[in-house]
Amino acid sequence: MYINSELPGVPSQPGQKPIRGFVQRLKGKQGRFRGNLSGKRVDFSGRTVISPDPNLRIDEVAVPERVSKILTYPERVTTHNIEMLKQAVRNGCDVHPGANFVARGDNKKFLKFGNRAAIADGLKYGDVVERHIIDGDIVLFNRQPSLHKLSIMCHRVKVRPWRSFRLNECVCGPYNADFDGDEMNLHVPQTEEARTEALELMSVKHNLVTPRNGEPVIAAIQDFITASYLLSRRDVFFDRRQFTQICCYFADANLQIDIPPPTIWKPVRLWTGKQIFNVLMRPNKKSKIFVNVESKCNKWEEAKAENYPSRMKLVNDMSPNDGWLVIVNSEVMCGVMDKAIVGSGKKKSIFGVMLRDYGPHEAAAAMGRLAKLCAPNFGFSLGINDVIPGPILSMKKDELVERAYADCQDLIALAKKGKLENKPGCNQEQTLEAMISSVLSKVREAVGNICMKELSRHNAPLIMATCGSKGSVINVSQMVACVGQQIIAGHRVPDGFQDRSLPHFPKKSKEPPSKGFVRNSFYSGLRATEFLFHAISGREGLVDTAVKTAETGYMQRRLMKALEDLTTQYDLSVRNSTGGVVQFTYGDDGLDPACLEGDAQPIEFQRAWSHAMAIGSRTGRGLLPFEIMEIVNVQFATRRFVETCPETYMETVRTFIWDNVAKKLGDMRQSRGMFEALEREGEWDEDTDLSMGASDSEKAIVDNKSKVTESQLLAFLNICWVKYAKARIEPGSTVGAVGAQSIGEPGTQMTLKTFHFAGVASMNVTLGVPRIKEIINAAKAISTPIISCRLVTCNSEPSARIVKGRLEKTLLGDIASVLEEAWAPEYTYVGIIIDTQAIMKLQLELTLDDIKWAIVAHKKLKIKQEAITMIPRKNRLRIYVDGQDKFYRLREFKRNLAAVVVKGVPTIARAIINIKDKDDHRGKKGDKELLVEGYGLQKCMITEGVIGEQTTSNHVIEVAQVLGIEAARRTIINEIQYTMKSHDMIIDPRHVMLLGDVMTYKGEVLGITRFGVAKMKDSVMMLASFEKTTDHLFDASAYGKNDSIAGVSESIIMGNPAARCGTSMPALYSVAPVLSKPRPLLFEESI
Amino acid sequence: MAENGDESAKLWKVNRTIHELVNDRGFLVSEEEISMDLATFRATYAPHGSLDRSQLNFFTSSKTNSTDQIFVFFTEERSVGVKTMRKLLGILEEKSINRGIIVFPGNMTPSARKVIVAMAAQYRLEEFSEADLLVNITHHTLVPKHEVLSPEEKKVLLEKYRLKETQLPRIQMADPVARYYGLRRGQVVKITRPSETSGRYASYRICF
Repeated sequence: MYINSELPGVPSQPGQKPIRGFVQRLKGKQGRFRGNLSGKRVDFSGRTVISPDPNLRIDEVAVPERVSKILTYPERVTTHNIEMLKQAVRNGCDVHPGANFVARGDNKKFLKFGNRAAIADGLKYGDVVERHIIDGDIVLFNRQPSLHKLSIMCHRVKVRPWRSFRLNECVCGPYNADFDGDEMNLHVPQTEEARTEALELMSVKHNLVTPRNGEPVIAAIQDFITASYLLSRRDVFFDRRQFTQICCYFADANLQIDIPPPTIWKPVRLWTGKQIFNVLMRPNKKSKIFVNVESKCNKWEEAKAENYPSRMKLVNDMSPNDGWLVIVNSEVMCGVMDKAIVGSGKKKSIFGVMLRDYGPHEAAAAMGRLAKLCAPNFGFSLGINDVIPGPILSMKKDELVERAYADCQDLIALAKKGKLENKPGCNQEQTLEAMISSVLSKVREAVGNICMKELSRHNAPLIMATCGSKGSVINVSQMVACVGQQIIAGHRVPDGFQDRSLPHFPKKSKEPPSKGFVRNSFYSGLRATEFLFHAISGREGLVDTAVKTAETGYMQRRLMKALEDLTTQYDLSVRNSTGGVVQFTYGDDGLDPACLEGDAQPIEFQRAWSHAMAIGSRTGRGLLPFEIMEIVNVQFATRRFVETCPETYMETVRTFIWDNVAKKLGDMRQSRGMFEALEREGEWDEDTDLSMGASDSEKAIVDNKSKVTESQLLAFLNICWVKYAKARIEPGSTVGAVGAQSIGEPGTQMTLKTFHFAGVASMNVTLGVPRIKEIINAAKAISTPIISCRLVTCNSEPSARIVKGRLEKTLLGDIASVLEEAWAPEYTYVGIIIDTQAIMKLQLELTLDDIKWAIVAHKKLKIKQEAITMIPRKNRLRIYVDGQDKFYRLREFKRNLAAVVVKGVPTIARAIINIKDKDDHRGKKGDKELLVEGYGLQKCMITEGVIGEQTTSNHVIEVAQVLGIEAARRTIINEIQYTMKSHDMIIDPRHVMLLGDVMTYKGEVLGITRFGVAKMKDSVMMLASFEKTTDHLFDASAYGKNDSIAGVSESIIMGNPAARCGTSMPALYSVAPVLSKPRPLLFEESI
Repeated sequence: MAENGDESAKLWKVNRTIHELVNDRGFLVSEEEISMDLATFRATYAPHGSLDRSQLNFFTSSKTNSTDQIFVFFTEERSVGVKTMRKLLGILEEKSINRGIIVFPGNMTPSARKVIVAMAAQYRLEEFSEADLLVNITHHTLVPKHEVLSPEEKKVLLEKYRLKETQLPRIQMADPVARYYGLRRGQVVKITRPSETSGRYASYRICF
């Protein structure tokens, strides 16, 4: 009781306060380990409500004066700061740039009382003044839940009046903050070392991109996007007064702004809205910021061929809605500034590009300018007028809804007669549901499109939906036209009463209104039934979010505990704290996912090339194709390339230049009747005319189309080198922790989508958080095991059906037309009449003999082979029964025979023939493949007609058993990526690979659970701080275990800096001091 | 007849895989035995329709060391007992070969497994069911290339990364691929995977 007060079987005395035993003190979230050792309460921190302030720089945080007078920083007095500190001491505790304590050695003086002036005058070099924090000080700013490393970042202080912490809205993204009452925490690092580390590693500027996939997370949001969009539309013009006014908004007084020449000179000088962004990116002529980017905007409409003469070739930037952005040397050519261009989540946004090409400071400054520009410009609001549908819109909508209702009626009528053609693997009812759902979802889509067309272009919700700042087309159409079908648990509203959803409807009605279709809009108002359906679906969403947060939080914690100590070493291998290798090179190539520009590549060639073309000088002679390749090869042989870049990278660069530059130039030359000159040939010398006498005009054409100068080429190669050199991972990076966060954090954002149709209706695959959980738990039983089999003859339906028959479980009951008892004085038997017609129809390869053996093989029935006689002529089988309890035996047989598996694999529930809808490595479009629901990968592989080598399963454990640990690793990676992709979440493959390696590096598939982690780690301290605290401690004391305090958790518990990772990796290693043997205790013998 | 056709087709696949297996382990196997097609296989081993598994037995010697021989034994029995194991041991003793592989169509009794363990000191016996061999798992799309490292190569590897044996990633002895290559405790396999980030990537695992 004293040790463990929760012993099972011991009832707690009522009325008495339960005793807190040792065990209870240690374990749990509030226990000693997690509450006091792994996490501690700290000084020099503050917490208050946050509010927005676009006039702050993005790396600033406004701290209330009250707070700044409590938080202090101990600054040592030097020649440089003595005057400032003297003044601070004089000001004391209550006046802002003051100080609270002065310390000389161990002697610390409080400045609230006493003679402050005297202390200030006596201040000497080397004293330490605990001064108030002032503008420019370094603090850490944090919002819970701290799901990833961007949840705690380093800001610079700006001391301001009033009571809230204020931050630039651009930084809301990584914190996931809004201003509906959120509170945030602030910590002040107390040493120069800590400040430097914070500034270099955690500063907002150094964390503009997420390490999950290298996309920017700090970028314009909401109204900033709306304002940029409105400003950059094609019909926005300003006169000089307005233009200069706007330019003044975004800068402060110490920025020189050069006004560009106006776009329209006569009759009045006018500047376009897009020119504002030119100035924003490159404020003056001295600035060297040349942004070059070409990208798709949030909504890109393709140019329609019928609007142009047929000789014209349509290109992307001819988009009718200005949906293609082209920026050349910081001049916006076309395109609007919407979510994809100034918002987060796109590598090709202007801030993303600035960050990659000109560094974080420039990107942050530009972002600050944008925030200031967007703050005071337009009013933007939404009123009832915005959601009133016009007459055309309401008419069209009613028409659409009525037509959909009629279609549904037809379908229902068809289904009643049973004439609906079943979808593969569905029965009549499911088919009907699927078809009605598709009709109704099309309605909503169609109504949404009409809304987009019919609403005014000044309609506020529409503007927000098109530029992506808030809301979507669906939200607009729900307000204006039609709320649409309500979905509960992936289906239409279920029956809550007998055979109907509500008593307002007839029984067994399947019409849209009775199953949750809401035809009204939020403007027109919902009917009572509609309102209830909408509320049901809304409640489901709430419950799901609540459940998910708890689940993902726990998942995140486990992932973190399992991966926390993995760091890159000086040889770029990834090892855990005991030195065990997890990967021999991080991510197979030693590159940092946060620094990658392309899709998992360090450089995006196409953009880098156009950037190089734009910044390189165009004057000078154009190179010949072979000269290009020669220069490339010469450059690649130089030391800096050889030492930094691996051969494969140089090869990709070379291939890119060959395909996109040299070859193109060669083709161009050939088409104009010149030598291709792709390779240098021996007979050429200085005077050979490689143009073969082409005219000057033709030379000019070739030059205009594909001239490349040496300086451009060198610029490109330099970019290639720089990008690669920057992208290499640093030794000591905590890749494990970052990987765990990158996989755990997106989990919280996963939406309701729990299922997904794998090509065929009714073939569901679990997705979302439940699926991720299954994978990382390495669960033995998963909810939707699916084996996909490639077929030998993949283009014929009948042969696919035969294979399906071989695999799918067929019960005797399915193929027997009659199961009869026969009683006679001499004999008793169960007669089975086999329905050969059914066998033929199902294309089963089944003979009577097979059936007989299947019955004999059935374990429970225990029928002897001799008891069965076959009558092949009549397709009958007889099982004779004899003995004492023949009546009961007979009854038992009759009951159980129908469930005998006569053909196929018992663990397989069903198989479905799937027709591929796109090409991939497993076959062409239109190929048939077999999707098998159930377990038994090996059985599927060895079935005739299946290509065993290309049969895969989504069940990790089974793959490990059949194909080995390496295949299991591959499956883990594929499945996680597949799940994430179906939620539109991109995670760098390196993180997922690391997780796959962690789960398999011990030779068996270990789940990220308490059992798996216990097998991965040796440290008792770490395991005790994870789960089952006391069990591990009891174990350790019984076996007398050692703990080397090498991991992260252990170091934190002991109060050390985390060993062997990050900035504590470079360290002086020395031999451990020899400890003398403990003195024998006085009463040792007696123990 | 359909039954027999099925059976011989199965055995043809098993036979091909076992030859590939023996070849991959570094024993002498002629090319035509691996690439033999179904018709020739039927003609050679099952001229009268039914097939006698004992005809498939073969032995071969290592490419480098001709005294190191391996014997592959096919058995008819659905469940392999101690008796069959005795028979195999008898053959091994007679031919003085100390490595044997037994291929069986059904399953193996626990007592027969015990024989393998008990004889481990003298003979290296391995067991495969025909189901394991119908498809050569090392040719599967998910399975990357595995190569067994020689002791010298292993030493170089450990020195290059300054590793102790315990610090290498592991592979179980019961892992299907490890069984295919007949890995023994302490042997290291080099795994060359196709990689989406770097094209190709080499990793290592130690058998334990």
